[in-house]
Amino acid sequence: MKGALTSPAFIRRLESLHLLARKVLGGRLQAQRRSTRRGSGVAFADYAPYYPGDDYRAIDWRVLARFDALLIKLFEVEEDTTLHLLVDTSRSMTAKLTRACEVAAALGYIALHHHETVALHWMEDRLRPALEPGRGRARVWELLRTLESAEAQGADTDLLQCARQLHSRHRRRGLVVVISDFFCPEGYERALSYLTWAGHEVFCLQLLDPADLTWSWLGDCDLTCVETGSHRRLTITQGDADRFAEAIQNWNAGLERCCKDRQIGLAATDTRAAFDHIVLDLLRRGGLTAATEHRG
Amino acid sequence: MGGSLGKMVAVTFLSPAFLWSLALLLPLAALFLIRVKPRARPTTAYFLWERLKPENRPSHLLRRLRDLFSLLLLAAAVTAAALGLADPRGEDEADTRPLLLVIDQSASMQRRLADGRTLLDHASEAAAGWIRALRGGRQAALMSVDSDLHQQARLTAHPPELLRALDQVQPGGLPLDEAVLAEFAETALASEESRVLFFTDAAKNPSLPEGLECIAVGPAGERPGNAGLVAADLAPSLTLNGAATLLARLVHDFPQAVTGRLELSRRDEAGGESLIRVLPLRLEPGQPRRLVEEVPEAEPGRWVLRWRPDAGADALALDDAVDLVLPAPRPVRVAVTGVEPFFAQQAVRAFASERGTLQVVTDAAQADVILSIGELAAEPAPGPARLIFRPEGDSPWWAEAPGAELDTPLPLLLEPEHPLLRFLDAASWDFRGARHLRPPAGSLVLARQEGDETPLIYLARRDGSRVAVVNLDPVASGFYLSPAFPVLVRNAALALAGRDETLPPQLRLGQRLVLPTEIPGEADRWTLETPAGAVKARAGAVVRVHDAGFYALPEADWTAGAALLAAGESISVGAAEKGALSPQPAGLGGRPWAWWLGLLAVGVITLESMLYHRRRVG
Repeated sequence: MKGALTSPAFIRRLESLHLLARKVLGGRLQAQRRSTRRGSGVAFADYAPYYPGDDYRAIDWRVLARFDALLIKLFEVEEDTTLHLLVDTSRSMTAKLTRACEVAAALGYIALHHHETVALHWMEDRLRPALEPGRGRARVWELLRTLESAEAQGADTDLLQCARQLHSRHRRRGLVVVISDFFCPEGYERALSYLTWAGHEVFCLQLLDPADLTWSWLGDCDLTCVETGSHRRLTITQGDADRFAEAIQNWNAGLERCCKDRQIGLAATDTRAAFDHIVLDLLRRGGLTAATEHRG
Repeated sequence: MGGSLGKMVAVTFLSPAFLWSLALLLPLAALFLIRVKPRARPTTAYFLWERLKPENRPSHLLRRLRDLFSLLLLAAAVTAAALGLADPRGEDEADTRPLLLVIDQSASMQRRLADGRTLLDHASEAAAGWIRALRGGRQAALMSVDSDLHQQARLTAHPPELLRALDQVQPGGLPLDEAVLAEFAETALASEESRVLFFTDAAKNPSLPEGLECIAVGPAGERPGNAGLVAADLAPSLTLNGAATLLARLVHDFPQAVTGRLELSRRDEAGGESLIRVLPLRLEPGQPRRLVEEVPEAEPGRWVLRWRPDAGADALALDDAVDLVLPAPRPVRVAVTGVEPFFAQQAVRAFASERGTLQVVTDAAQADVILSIGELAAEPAPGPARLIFRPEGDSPWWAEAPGAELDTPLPLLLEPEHPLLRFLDAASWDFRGARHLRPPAGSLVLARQEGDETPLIYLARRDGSRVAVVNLDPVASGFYLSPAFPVLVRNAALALAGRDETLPPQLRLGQRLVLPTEIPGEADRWTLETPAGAVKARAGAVVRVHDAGFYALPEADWTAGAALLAAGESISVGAAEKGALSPQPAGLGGRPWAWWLGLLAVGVITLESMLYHRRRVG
């Protein structure tokens, strides 16, 4: 992946994607994200009784004239939100890592061009910070270079551990995009619950390889886990292969159910799709903003 | 322990060089270990496989054992194949004698059992078991026996040759001649260097040699019953003119009473049959049935008698029909010449009523045989046959005129079995009145003077005429009064007329038929018509009766029917003792170890192939 994300061709595709995103979103993906904290924003939120010390400029004089009540107008605080890109770099993502980085690059590119704060994390058996939160278009180049350096390593993906570490390092709530295949032996439910409990807006992008969905080898084999290296000898029959495909389907259906229950946006795709199509489709469906608006 | 740990079986290999193929085990084991190492298959969802196929200790152990088991199977297959190729043979040191396998090929072996197979099939199967079990180069020969002994395969250690010969043994229709078997067995067992196994359907006859091992064949249990004709005759009735007397005897071995019928049919020239009599019969268990029946207006010729059971067929069809011949009355016409013909005529009349054997005629020109006493009247040759007593004067039937009487005639019999002397003891006769004379050249002397060449009884032939000369004076010796006189007249009349009664009216299969030594007319060979066709046979030849049907000698105007007519073939004898008489051949299932090892190798390879298939494709 050396140089793939910083090549002029890729940059041009990102730029095109950014323009398309603006057209698709119509400016909705602004950095101004409404906060439940009320303060000096521009969006009216509520009235409150005046107390000494409050800003005179907030007194609604019309209400005073009409009802003889001294009330002040409250406005929602507009604050910049950090986009946490959690890219699964465990060994199970070896075949999917390029596509995952491309998608992450596109999302990060769009976010930075919209003055969002973007942070990048590698997700394995633990969370590894790859790019500290920062904003501004100037960080695009750093983001892309960092993504280019990604390589699959580490042991089993531990989503819960990663979620805990993210929360411990970044107390401020933000938008968390998890790009992974979600093949986690310990499961994904607790990790996603943890992230939502921590106040993050979570979006899951499940990236799969077509070979992950079925099992074509029959007979004796030394089944090896790509992440831990564990292996065991098995004789796999056609029935086993069918049951495996069914188990994969159930696993993915469980993820979908879990996300739906927690009002988490989910998009599942495979590596055959181009990254810009994935991102554009994601934006068209309002995946990233839907959750935000819902929570707002 | 009983003092014995069992008999140790030594094993030899006929082709030990093949044991080197066991060296293939090493590279095969190496190849196997390489082959069974499964290819690594990486997966991103290992945890799902662990849930789908949780690994517990027994399955893990089983998988490891399975690989080891496959290796062992492969080794076992190679070992079995190598050992099979080496052809192991157990070496029975106690008995290496050659085996002489004798198959009972007699008619009773055609009996069809409940399983649809004949007893001969079972005998062949049992013999094949012994042949396949031959080991250590042990030799065997194959023979079959019915009325004769037939060698099927010479002594050999090559089982396929014996098996091929065994396939050639076909069911015969002749009865078993135990004398033939006994003679062979005694010869074979005399040196104690052979072992004789007789595969038969019956228990061993005590008269057979002790060393002969009888192996009763056929499945245990009740055998299908059989009823058959063992005697039958059709002869002119002694009491009714134009009638015939039928005599028949049936035996059976049905455990219960059976009913059926005897059908007597007349056969015409074209071979067609006309049913004449139907005689219903009921056969009680354990009781043979004898039947004498008068058949009125029976025409001479060929007949057939058939037994037809009411309920289906019996086990052996060969004994259910007998071909019969009712001879036409054709007496030998005898004229008596010379002085005092009374006694001679009475002697002829004594046999005139015995089925019309002889007939007295007064005109010598119409006679078949002339009985002369004393000097002969001159007759141009060829004349009728003559029986001459007390030869006198010149005659072509003796070389010169008879000389003086013998002082003390002492007869010496040279041909006591000749038909002329049948039923007679000529050595005790009083040959008083016998005279010195010399027979013509080519004469057959049946008796002569002791210490002298003077013939006392002789036969001569000249220009187609035959004479029998009895050199005695029947009056002086009182031979007229002897009971031997009419018998001699009868024998001589039949012999001289060519009606030799050595030819029987009914033939049994397997019987030896002795053709008459005298052929009427100018022919030098008999034409014997048999069911299989006509054959030429010399006078006095012995012919085996092989086929059921009609045998005829046209020159002798003789026809007889031939049938099985053997009680020993129609009923089972001692089959119940089968179990005690069935030694099993050595070897597993009667097959050589190489056969089983080959089978084992194929089976093991098949099993291993299934395991391999499962390993490869699940």
